[in-house]
Amino acid sequence: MAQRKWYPIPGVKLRILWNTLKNFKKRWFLNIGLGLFLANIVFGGTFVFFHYVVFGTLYQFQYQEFGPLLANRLIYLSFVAFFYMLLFSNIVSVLATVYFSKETSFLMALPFSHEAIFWGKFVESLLYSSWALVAVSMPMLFSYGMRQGMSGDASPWWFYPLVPVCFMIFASIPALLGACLTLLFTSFLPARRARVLLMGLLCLFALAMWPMASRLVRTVRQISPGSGDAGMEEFQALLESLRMNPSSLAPHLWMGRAMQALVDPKQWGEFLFWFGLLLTTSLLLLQLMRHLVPKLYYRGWAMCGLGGRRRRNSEWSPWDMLEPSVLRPFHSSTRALVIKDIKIFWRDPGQWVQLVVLFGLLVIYVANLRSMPVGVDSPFWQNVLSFFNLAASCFVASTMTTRFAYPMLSLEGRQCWVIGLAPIRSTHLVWQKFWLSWSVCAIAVGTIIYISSETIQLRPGMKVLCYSTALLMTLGLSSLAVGIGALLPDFKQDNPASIANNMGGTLTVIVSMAYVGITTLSEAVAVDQYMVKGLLGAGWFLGFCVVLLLFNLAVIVIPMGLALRKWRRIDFV
Amino acid sequence: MIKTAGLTKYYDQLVALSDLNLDIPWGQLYGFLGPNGAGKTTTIKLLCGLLRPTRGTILVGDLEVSKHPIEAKQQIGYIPDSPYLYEKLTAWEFLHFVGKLYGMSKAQINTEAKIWLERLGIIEWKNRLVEDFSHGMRQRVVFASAFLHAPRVLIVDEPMVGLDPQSVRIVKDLFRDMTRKGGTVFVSTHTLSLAEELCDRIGIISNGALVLEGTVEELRQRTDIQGDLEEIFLKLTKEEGAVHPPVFS
Repeated sequence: MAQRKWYPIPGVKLRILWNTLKNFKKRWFLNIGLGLFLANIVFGGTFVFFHYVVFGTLYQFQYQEFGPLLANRLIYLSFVAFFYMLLFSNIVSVLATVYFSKETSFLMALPFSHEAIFWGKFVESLLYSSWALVAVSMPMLFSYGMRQGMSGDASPWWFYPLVPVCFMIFASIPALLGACLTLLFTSFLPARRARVLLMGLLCLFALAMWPMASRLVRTVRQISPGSGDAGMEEFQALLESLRMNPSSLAPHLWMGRAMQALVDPKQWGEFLFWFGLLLTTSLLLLQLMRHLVPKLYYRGWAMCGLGGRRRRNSEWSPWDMLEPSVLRPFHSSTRALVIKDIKIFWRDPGQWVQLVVLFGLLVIYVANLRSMPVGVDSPFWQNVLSFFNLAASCFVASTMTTRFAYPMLSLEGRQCWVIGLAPIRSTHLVWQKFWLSWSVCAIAVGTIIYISSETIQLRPGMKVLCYSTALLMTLGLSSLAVGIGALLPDFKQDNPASIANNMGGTLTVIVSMAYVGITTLSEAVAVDQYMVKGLLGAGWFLGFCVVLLLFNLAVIVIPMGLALRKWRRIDFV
Repeated sequence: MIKTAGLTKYYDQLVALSDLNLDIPWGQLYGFLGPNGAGKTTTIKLLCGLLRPTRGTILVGDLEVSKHPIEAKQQIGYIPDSPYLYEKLTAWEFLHFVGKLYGMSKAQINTEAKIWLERLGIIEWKNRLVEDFSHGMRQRVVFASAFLHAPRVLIVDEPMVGLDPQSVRIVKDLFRDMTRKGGTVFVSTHTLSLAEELCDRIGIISNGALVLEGTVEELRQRTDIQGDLEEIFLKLTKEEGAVHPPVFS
């Protein structure tokens, strides 16, 4: 008789987690302590960022009543972004976990009902795809509650326990919607083709949103240079650009309204209304999925192995053209490894779709610069803008290196025997990943800095400073990502997103962001004191440059040095 | 030629292999037998240079693997028990990737890849992604990749898993060809009939130590069993203990 209960499936994962914790043995204190420390840094860092930087700045606005208004609009926009990010990540995750996973094939052979397998794996996929966003949004919303409370009446105590409940219900809507879409698409298309089609549609949708986002950022920019002198008309224009249609059926609007009502103890009734909308929509989608799963899931899963197979017409792919051209100066084994990495990356849409999203953010950022007042003459603004560009580019680069460069060595995983057996040094692989990561990173950051510095007409001296700092930081970021990835490899995992989300990935993103923050901020302050305000002597400035250079060299050399030392003696078990 | 002296491997405190001494000359097909967890795969990974020995030396050809890993690996072809390949590469691309790692030219790879894919019966599938392949087809791709650079020493872990009878015949012929041409083949297997049929000499390992070595006839004489290899193997490994508790140093 078929097992109809779904919870034994995620239950096994809990048992695996428990066994992993038990296996820490003597090092349990260190591992769990480090995990808690990192969690605190992520949670605390996000809270401090929103509380003091984002909301702190908004509430310093010249007109005091604008602070809460802008904060509300910012929260709405965040929920729009969260909604689409969750929709994206849930579609990718449901396909990988519920359809393509080898564990699903194994479970299908056991006396589980198809519905039980779907729900068991869906819960796993939901937790996996949503936990990071939930963890990041909680400190943001708590900070919002505290700031809004400070601006008027205190936020009621129930704001804090109800925020996670509301957010989880809100997050369940794109997750269920993504799963329903996946169920429908895979019922008439093989899963691999359905994935490409769904990703393509979502990319088109993201591109369609670009003009709207660009217009919004342009409006914000137009009032910014005046710092504290924004007039009422400009402010009205800003609010207009941020306006959301209250009659919209979008769940992110309901969530925003629910949060807005929740901070005010007098609007309890209104909160219940918006909360009710979220809850009933979530339940409606859940009910829809309960009807779809028995009819469509097995049909879609059974087609997984069909149709998606595509016979390639030629022995050669366009990427092979890189070998006799761009990669010509390199050793044959390096060329082979680079081309292999690029092909594997290109043929996995789950990977490059996320890259499209990241590049989308970059495009919006660069497009936004076009609306800057060209030729900002004030040295103060030149300094602020150039270092802001540098920091923004490198923060995006740090996200890229954590997401793509950090998992590269782990992804060799079970195929490590191929490279371990080859007549090349094991450290060759670490160097190859480092230089590949640096090349991509340097091209991306260099392009952004070139466009942005030309757009705002930076002085040549500042350009040289920005390029040289960017060069150092791209080397540092690649060293951190590849180095930590080599020191903490996870050869058993073949999902890059999952590798990037593990403890090593979290450590990489925290250290990378701290590195970018320390370098750009200290350099901006030193340049301001020396070049702009003239408060620092040339000798002191030179001394500072030497210290900064040594700091950067340490970040470049230490992680790679430790990684190479480990890989010289690595066992390919 | 494979030669080991005092080869020992610890995983933390667990002794996976203890004081292994082998001497396999050129032109010999050596069968390596043992129950699960006896240390066969550890031995193979040590011979290939995928693991570093805790103690002892390994010579492949005239080269010591730990001192000259690159030159030694150039002579080795390895076929693992589980054919983990890059799923998003085609068979043709995988062979090109492996060939380039061994420093072969494009023309050389083209010629050799075609020969081996044809011989192993998967030339029709060369432009398909490996993710579409069955276990047996993946195993055939691994065989092609192992023979691509014309190794002098072939190390094989469970060669027949997932192969159909036709492929089994091809593989047997490949092993015989290789030893006839003077190469050395080291095969670890649970298929005792295969070992009995093909191997010039057989070593039986249990609990990380070599318990008996010789031709099938020599094994019969030393154990005083006139039956087939299966009977010898079962008796020896039963005496050594069917269940193998881990040995700690």
